[in-house]
Amino acid sequence: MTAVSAAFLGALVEVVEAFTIVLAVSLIRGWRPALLGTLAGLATLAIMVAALGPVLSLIPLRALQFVVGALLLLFGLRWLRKAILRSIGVIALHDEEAAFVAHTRDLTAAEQLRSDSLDWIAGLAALKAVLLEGTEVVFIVIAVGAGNGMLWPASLGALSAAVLVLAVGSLVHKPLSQVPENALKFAVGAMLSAFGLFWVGEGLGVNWPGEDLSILAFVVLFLGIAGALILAGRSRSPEPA
Amino acid sequence: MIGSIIKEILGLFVDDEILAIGILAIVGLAAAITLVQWGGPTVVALVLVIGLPAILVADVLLTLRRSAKQ
Repeated sequence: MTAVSAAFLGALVEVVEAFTIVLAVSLIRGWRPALLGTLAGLATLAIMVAALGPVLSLIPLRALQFVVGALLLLFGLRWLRKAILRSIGVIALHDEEAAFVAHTRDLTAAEQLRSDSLDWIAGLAALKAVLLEGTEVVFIVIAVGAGNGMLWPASLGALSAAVLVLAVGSLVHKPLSQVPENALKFAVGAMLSAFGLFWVGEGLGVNWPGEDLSILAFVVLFLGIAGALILAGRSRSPEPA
Repeated sequence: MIGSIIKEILGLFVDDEILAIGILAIVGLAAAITLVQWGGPTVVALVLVIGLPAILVADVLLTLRRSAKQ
């Protein structure tokens, strides 16, 4: 259940970010370059997954757990650090409206310079967004699912998030700025860090007490520490930026 | 474009160098303890459970101190 939740919440954040850029492309240059860029990004991702999938099964489980765990720690603690610093006000909150305005402005400026090649620029912007955010989703799904036979449930969790964002996005037809991204990053960062700690330990031969249940204890540990850091940080800087 | 994509993919794992080096140091220490068989899995577990949150705390406090000075 934790693996599915982590995949769902992680994918939710990433798909919202990709959707913002694809929406900006479609509003400036129409649906064609946005759709082509998105499809090209998804096709590249599919090739990556198809190529990497069989390789994963060749790696010994312990080594896979150790390497994936270490990468998860780098990824998860980075998210958690960023969410803590955003909550304190040291760095600015990610703003989908602002990202949408920035991408729209860039594409509009490019339109004035080279109108004939703009479809390519717009399509590449959509491709890059889908590829980068999609790579993060693929990594999260593999990381939380590969070591414990939860690859398919985790994939379904991520897919559900994508369907949800696309359904809501197509209805409201504007950036999904109401999604509490920092709170989600906070939760997913703690979950991914907990999985990372668990997998690195398993890879090194640690038999955690309670086995998989210890992941929940690690989530609580990281959330507790993050909460304490936020309280400490806010007391130091009473007027967040 | 490929260069910027590779750079951004690397950026998924490394944002703050001190945090990344700290994490890898703790994971490396745990792996070294396992390799030399010093103390067994309990020591490895303690290194990970104490060391990783400690790295996060140290990095955030360091960042706060840096931002306060600016």
